[in-house]
Amino acid sequence: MKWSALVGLCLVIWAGCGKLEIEVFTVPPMAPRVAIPEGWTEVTPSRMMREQKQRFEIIVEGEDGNATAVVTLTVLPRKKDMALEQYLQINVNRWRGQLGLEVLPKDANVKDNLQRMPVLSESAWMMDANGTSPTNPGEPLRTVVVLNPLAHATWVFKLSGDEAAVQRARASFMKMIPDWK
Amino acid sequence: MKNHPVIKFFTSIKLMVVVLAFSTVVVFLGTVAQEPMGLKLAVDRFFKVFFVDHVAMKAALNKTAHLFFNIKPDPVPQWELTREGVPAFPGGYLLGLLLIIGLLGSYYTRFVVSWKKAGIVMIHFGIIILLLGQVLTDVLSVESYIRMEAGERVNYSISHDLVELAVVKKDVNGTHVVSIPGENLRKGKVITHPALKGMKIEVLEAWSNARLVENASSLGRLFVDETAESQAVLNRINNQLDVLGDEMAIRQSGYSLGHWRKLMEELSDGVKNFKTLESPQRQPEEEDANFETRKKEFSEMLEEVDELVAEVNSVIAPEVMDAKRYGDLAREVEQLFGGKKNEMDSMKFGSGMDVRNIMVLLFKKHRNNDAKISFIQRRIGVLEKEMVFRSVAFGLESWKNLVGTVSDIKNVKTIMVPRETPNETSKQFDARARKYEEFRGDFLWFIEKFKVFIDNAQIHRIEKAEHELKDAKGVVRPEGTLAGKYKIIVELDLDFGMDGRNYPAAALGLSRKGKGIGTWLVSNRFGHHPQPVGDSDSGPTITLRDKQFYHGHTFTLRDLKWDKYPGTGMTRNYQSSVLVEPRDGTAFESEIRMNDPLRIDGLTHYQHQLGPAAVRSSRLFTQLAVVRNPGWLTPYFGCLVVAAGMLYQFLSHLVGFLGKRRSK
Repeated sequence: MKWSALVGLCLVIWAGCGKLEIEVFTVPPMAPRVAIPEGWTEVTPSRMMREQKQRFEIIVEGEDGNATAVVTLTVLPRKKDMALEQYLQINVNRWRGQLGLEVLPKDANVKDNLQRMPVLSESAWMMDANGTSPTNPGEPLRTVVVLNPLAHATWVFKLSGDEAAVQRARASFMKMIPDWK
Repeated sequence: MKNHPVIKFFTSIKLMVVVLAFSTVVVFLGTVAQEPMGLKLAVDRFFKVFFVDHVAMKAALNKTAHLFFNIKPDPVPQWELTREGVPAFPGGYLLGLLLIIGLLGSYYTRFVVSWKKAGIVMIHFGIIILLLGQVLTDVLSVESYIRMEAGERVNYSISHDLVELAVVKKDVNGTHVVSIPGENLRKGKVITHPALKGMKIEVLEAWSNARLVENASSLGRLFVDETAESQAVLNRINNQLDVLGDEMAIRQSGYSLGHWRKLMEELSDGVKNFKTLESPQRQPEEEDANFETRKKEFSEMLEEVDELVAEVNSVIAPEVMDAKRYGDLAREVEQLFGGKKNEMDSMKFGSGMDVRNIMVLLFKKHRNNDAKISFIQRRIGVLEKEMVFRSVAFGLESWKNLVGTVSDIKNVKTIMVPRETPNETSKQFDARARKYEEFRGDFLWFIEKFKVFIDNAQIHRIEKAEHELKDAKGVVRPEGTLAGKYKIIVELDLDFGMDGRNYPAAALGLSRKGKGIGTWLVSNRFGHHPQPVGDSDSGPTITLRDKQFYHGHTFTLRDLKWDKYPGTGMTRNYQSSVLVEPRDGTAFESEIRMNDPLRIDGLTHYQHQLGPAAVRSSRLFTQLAVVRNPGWLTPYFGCLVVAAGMLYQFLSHLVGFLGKRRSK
């Protein structure tokens, strides 16, 4: 009797193992990557920009109309076998082009146009440049970019848009970068 | 009690000898069966069962007969392998259970308390821990994977073995999930649950592994309209199959074409003018001018390949398509062009579906540039031919027969794009060009046909199903739902391979309070593809996806590192730098390397792979294997106990021996 009870118990336990039942559960929302400053609106990055991981839009109301800026976190692959200076130069020239500025001369030291960002890492650099819109001449634009190259990934934090909006958002932007996950 | 016949039977030495003998046989057959059945199925049917069924035994014995006695019985059909037959032989669990019962029973009947035997007891105790630990691992361990791109934050992993039909609703409180195991997707099954709030899901059709096809104009036509014309084409193709089969077999052998050509030259008069993508080597007694011409042709071809790579990369940029699609295409391109170009005969090719997709993208880009289109057609046409040759398992009966047909292989060059040669009249060239065009048309037809043929396809047409794909208002489901896009389901054989994936699909009839809502087509082939149920955008969605396991912690992939041994292509290290945010506690950085996993919340995270695209620096993603195994410590503990027992036994004998010597 004892034996049959034991065998029966084992069979019941065994039969219960591995049975998959319908599960019902709630996954709480993930904590935000970073504390979002007031007045910034998070928007979903375009599916066309796969490397863009987070995007905010900022609208500053003014007497002459609204000034707008965009803040993005983008993670890019680093070009294999490319020296850091060359990598920085390519990116700086691209951002200068977006501001209607001329590209740097080939023999220029790109780091003269950048500031170090030791709060992130020894290899992190920041560019803060003013310019005008290439498509709408005379419209003042400004870009603040922090570039943190790691072994194979480069984290790019970028604030760009109308000069007035960038000026207003710059302090918050610089403050949040070290905590941006 | 100790003399009870049952106790005596289970503790007899004879039984233990028989059990050990059967264990040896099961291990052998289970190992042999991995060839026809695949690793996972063989382990499931030989070791994780109380009895091995007759189908699995038949597959193993057939393979054994082939291996050791050169007897080739008809292979067990794939569809039959998936069905479990009647019990035919003791399985791993039964034998393991008998061993444990025998071991414990022996102690019960024969054990005598003695320090002298303490080591033996410990060894046996350790073995029992090892056996039970294996059972724990089999029953309780769960393996899943986290795939994430650099900068991405992820709080869940996905299974590669299990699928779930997920009804998901999101609101400010989080994501509410009703997870219905994929095992429920059986035709006729009706799924209800209080959490579905009155919604009833009826499985109208279910397929274990399926490909979804957009329309019948290409694939389906071959089966739906078997016209005399298509039969004539098929007959012509069948005439070419022998030659193609030989070529495929050469490339399937794993040897380079150069190797086979050399062999064939030794065995026959040599194969002349064998068109191949491999680097030209000077032939004996070849004139300098001829060799230089061949080298020049090869160099031009490499330039064309480079140009094609640039073109392909321009249309599969990550900015213009979603991650899944980009990932598939990037992998395909990596397979096509990843090898050194002068070793192209050793390249591996994938299914080729996406190569055609790439071709479509290229055609769209250059729709007004005839010269460009012509170039793309020419180069991809050749690659496609290579691809089919290499990807299809179409082996010959023996290499002897292959060598016997070697003289026909030169006809393969008829597939190559004809180019005018200096010694050729325009009439001769026109004839060759006509032959090529005819064959190319046939060949493309053949590619489509052949794919379906090897998949053993059955066509299921959803639009002919009893339930129409319309919602409650009689509106055809809008674009964006799978049923709105895919009209034909091609049922495929299950893939048992180690890296093989199966993609189930199902047609579901949804209703609420007896009133039909509509019919949804679901498949996990496209990753996570939620489809809205009902009219409201904020309403629930339904999706068939790889089962997701949510975790309390969150990972962010910060960086990747990889090294190879200098001068070789061998990987020395793959490494993911992740930021870990635990459910409670402070975030921390962690480096996950090969053989150096991260353990958190009862889960072990192993570095599984970096995508090939990541290694090329064009796309950064990692894949971690996540294992939940509550019994992971048992092997360590079991081995420690066995080692301690052996050490005790050895030392006790040594001390006794030394004591005896001293007393002498």
